Amino acid sequence: MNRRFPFLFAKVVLLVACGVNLSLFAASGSDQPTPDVVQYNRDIRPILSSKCFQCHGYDAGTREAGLRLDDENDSRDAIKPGRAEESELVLRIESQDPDTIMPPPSIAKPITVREQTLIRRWIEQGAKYENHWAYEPLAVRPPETASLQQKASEIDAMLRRRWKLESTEPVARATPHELIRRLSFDLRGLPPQYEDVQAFEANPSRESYQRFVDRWIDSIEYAENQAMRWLDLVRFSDTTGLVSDEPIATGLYRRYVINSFHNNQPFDEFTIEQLAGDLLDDPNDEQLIASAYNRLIKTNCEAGVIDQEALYAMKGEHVRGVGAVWLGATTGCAECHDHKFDPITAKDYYSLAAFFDDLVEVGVYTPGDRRLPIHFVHDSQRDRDRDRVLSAKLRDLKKQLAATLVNDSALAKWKAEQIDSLRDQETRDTFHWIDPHHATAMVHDGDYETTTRAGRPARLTTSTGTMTTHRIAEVMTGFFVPKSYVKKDPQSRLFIEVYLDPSNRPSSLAVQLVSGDYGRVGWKPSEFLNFVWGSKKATNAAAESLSPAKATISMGEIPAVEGWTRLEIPCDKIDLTYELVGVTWGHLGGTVGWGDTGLDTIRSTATELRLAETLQRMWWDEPHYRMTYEDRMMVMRNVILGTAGQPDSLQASWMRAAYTEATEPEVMRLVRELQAELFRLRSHAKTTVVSRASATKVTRVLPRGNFMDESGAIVQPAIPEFLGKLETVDRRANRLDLAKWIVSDENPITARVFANRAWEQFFGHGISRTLEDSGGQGDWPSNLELLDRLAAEFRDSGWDRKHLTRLLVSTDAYQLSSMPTEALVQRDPENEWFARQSRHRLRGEQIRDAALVTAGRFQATTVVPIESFFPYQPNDYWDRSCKVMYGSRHMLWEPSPDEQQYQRTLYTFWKRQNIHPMLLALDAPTRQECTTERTATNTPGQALTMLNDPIFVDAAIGLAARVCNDSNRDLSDEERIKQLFRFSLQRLPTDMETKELVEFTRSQLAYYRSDPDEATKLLSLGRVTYNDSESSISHASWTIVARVLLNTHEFMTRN
Amino acid sequence: MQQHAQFITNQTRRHFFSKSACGIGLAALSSLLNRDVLASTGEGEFEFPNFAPKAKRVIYLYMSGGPSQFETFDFKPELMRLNGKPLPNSLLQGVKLAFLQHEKIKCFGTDVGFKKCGDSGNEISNLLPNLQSIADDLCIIRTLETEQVNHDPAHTFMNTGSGIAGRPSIGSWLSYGLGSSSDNLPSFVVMRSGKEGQPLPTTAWHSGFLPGHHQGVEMYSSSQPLNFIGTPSGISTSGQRASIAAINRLNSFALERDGDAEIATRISQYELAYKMQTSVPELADFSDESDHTRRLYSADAPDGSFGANCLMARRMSERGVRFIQLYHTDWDHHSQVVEGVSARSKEVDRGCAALVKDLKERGMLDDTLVIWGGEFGRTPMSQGGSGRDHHTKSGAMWMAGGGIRPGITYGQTDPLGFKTEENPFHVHDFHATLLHLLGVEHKKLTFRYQGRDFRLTDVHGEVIDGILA
Repeated sequence: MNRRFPFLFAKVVLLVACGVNLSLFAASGSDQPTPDVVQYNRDIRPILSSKCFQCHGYDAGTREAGLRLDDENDSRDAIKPGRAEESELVLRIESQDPDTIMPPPSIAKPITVREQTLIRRWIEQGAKYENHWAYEPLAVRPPETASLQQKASEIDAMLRRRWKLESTEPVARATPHELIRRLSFDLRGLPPQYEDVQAFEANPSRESYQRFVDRWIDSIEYAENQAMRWLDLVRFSDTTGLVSDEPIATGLYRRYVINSFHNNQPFDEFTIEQLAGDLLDDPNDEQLIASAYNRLIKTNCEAGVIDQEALYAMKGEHVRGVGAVWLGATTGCAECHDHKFDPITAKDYYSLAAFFDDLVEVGVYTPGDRRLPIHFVHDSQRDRDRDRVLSAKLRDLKKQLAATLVNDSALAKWKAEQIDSLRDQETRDTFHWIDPHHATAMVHDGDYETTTRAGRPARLTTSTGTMTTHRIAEVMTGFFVPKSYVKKDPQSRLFIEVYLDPSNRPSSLAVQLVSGDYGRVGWKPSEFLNFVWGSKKATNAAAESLSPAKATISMGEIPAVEGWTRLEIPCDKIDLTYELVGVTWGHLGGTVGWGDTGLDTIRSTATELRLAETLQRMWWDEPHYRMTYEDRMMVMRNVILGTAGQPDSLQASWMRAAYTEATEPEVMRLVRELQAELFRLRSHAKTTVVSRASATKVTRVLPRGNFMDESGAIVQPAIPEFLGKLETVDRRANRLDLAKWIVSDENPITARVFANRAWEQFFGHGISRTLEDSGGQGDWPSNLELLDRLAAEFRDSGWDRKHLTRLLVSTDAYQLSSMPTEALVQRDPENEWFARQSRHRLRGEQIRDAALVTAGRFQATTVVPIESFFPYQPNDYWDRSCKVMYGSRHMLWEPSPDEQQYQRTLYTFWKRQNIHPMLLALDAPTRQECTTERTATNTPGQALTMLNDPIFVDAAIGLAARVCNDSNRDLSDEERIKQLFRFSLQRLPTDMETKELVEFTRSQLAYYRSDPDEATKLLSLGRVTYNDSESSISHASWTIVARVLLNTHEFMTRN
Repeated sequence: MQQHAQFITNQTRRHFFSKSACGIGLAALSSLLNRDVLASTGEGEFEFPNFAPKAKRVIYLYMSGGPSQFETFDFKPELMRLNGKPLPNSLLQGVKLAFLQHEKIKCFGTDVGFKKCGDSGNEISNLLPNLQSIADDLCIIRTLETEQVNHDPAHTFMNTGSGIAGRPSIGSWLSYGLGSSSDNLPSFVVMRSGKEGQPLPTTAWHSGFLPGHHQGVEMYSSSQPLNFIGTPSGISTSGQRASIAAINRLNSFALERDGDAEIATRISQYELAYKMQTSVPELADFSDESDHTRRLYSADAPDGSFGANCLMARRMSERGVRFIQLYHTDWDHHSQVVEGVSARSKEVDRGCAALVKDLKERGMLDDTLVIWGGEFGRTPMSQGGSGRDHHTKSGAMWMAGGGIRPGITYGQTDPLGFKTEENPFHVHDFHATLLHLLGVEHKKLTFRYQGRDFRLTDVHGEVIDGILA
């Protein structure tokens, strides 16, 4: 056991307070007794693994003197079974000579005397090797009919055998209060009600206990509490994680996880859907949402990033993810070399990475890219069906277009025409930007009727009283910077065709131009500019009802015509920093038909804009390498003009596509119509990042992880060789094969990893303590029989997660007290025998939730939200650290409206680079990497958070309200203190506690009586006001008392 | 066992001591706040420091964005001579370029003027007149080499020794290895100044897989210098004091009952929190500084300027904060590098020099290590005609004080400043040397996680003797 950890308060406290001898804690560690019968896995492997394998292990690349100690056959040069004295290994580790001693002093990992003894004894006893426990097959047990309780008893029997062996006795069963509070926190992450505790105290029978289990395990709170752990594991967050750390649509995935726990979806399905939901036959929405798992990796959009390097970094993310989540393996080590401690080779690492090569992803995204591809989830079946129909028709049309034969001379002729047009700076021309009926756009807000007026298509809107608006933005016809055309053509102007109904004229017309960097609205447009026709009053009205704009420019009166007319905005008036990406049309009063919106300009400009549409369409729902994508409005122009030299084959194919589109107007009319309808439909759908398989990328074994070295072999998808081989006849193995193997009987690891994690959740630490590593460097399970039994049970129950939970909480061991006996403190300080329960601080989320429940403020989940919410946080934190790069997408932390503030904490917006400071202080991980287990520190920063974070003050105000509201007007101080204890700790206070708080309450009442304004100030934090100062003084004083209870150790601890 | 797991284990272990041993009262607990206790390195299997440290604390002036060495500390007349000419292709083999992946590559020399300064003759750009005046205290390094060519991973690499997020930062390693050195302030504090824009991730001072209390704490130049440091409005100082006392009394009842040492820790941390609520505002109050000092830094109050942050850093040093990082942003000059460096220099030059002088006047420079540098250097080639791209093969930084040989220039780049010709100074070497100056043998400062003994220096790093006093 490695005992290097320096922050042992227990010992410190003892030393300071009592001067007790340290030996109390020395039950394990280097002075631990050595076992008589030495086992390789338990006793020897950890020594060799941490001190020898680095140079004499799996990694052929760093193997010294050709000696392997991990392999029984190869180790015989150094190990003579039964003859320790003749074994080179023993001579070397016991040597006093710095030149021969092993490990060499430079490694700084000397072998202790105890370890020397163990190795000697092991060799004397025959130097038998064992396979690593996690990789041993997990026996399939015959089906059985035992009841849950019988199975739980079997678990207890296994623990009892250990206790007998150690001649120890377990502690007593927990008190009903301790037990029901524990169960409530473990299952739901929330405290029980005092009434629950009372009911259980009245009837602490097994049946009564099981009723609580049944009730709570089926609650949505259970699912949310379990999901919290899963979200740490898969590094779920709301942002991309690197540099600008942009938001991504992941909320549906979180909902999927919660629902999956709620519905007790079998873990094998849950696994398969996440890794490969998109590869299932005709996947449904939920399966596609699940596949967002693969897209939770960090992605970059820094312009200087090298595409290849970033792609390999992403492969690493995928491999580390599978390793951490399902295999309990630290696969990341093999990126640069064969794993030193586990039989995972570099080839295995890259072969695992190759499973993910089919994913549509790029190394360098464009800022504001939603991390395409995304999947659109419709609310109604009708929309879902329509989406499918439209998508299918479009696929057919695209195939038809792709199959169109291209006549080379016709193409050449077309190209020549385009070049002429691109050079024509004289002739005036029109670029039709936003079609009245068929604009394909990502953003489509507001309603209108599509109709015709005077024979021309129009979007018809009617305004009664307030301004009516609709917005279309991020259109397939592209984006441009109007101001940039002025130099070449001072006449350039944006025009908006408008139909003015003679019988119902508007009093004003407004056009709001929407701009966004990189041709995107992104998730937050950068700038708006308003142009208004009509009176000054109308101008003001427009400015108020539209998004806050950079400026509102009056364009004079509404044209005094009836029917169609044209509004024009000279380009030199369009002072926008970023690209024009969309328009909002609005009017006050009247009925208006909106026609074409476009650009009146010279032919060269109109042509280059027209030509861009083909690439926009091609790249509409898939990401592309930033440096090409960013320039997409100019790419086709440049290819045709040949400004960047002779087009390569890819560019030539783009040009052919543009030609086909230009020469197939009938097909394209249909395509445009269908796409317009599809994306109008989708603009109201919910979105999620999603896995999509496409042409596969290539993975090579990179020597020393260097992406610039292309000398390594190209690999095919494969599981690590020592675990077997996937059988896919004549077919490249894919993610679905990987996922199915993970949950197959051939893989013994995953069931063990999951069972171990479940044990940790309900008993405080794993049977093997290293949840993140079940490999050779991992902790030897304290009870392998138990772990294997649970793993087999889990798998053979059909991967039934709730069954495993029920089984664990139904054991007697789970229900033990967490108060150790004197003997256990001394003999099993680390609780390896589980002869008692454990204690731990609640997670940050649970503490906040518990405070809200106690305050009566908790907003229970009725519908699992998709959007994350923004709790209050200190201004300075986000103000300086939030800043997202590149102009348009600066993200500000705007606290959600009050009514959303009391949601469950797991719905907090999780920005990887800046997680909420309350969660940060309470040890939540950033989720940049997979986290299998959180630490729980105990710091002054936590105390400051619990004392001063407004949410906890607010909770104290809420809790105080529960004891000094009108119905409690006549209660004595003692009675109120009792109530506070019931609400916050679900028990009654002791006399000492009451006495302490009675005095404290009086001092607070005196204080607020002397300064009633202070009471008002305090209560304003909870938005509470009173007309009479006595109520205010009382509430404020009790708030301070309530705050004391919320800060007790007991409040934040699960016992 | 792995240390991550060990930490979690210790949470179990440190619960419960023998009830028969003795009860524990608040009086005994107050000594928990003793800094030696907080600094305890416990088990004794390794002890830090490994040898007498030259530096007791570090003030790291972190120029975020990647300051150009060619306008600051690496004078290259040859580059000016070849201005506009193509760079020899041979230099570019195997080099990662960022933005210049997409551009024609030409030499770019600028004429900002350099001066050989002081007795040492250290060459410093005329854009940094105040630093020129303390040239004899500086050890200038011109051969900084990194492996990451883009900001995010380069920050991560410079701070944690790995380009992938998730490892502990330098300050966290020191907190873990050396413990706390202040009884009422965090041992690792970060402040920022400069224009907002390019983001600085809080992960740059995260503790990674080390327990969370080793995390760097960001302090702001505002009325709330730390998150949640202020007592809520409507609660008086004495009310806060009384509340904490009541909390601790309730907790001490529980401690008496259960003998759970974790409760004792909780009690001590609430005490410490209260102390911090007093000590932090006092720290930010410059009224006890002399006029001379305030003029030196050109700072009358913590106003968010770099100079004021430097003065805060000195005040924190005096109060035992071990690792202070002052980030100053906006050094990413892809265009108009001369204008950019000149503007940034105006912002930081005075504060940097003031800090070194002030520490020296107070006799603190001998055991305070001052570091100046960014996440990478910049190219000798131009980007877009007036700027410079990110560069991994060369870059400049300087160090002064605790254990550093003053008045020298270390490392020689080629005539164009593209790469090291003599004495490379890799980020891993920087880390090894930094730890060495604090008395820590970098190979011994390890933490076992995921089956590996992780180090700040990964499996690399040499202590660079050439810069040691």
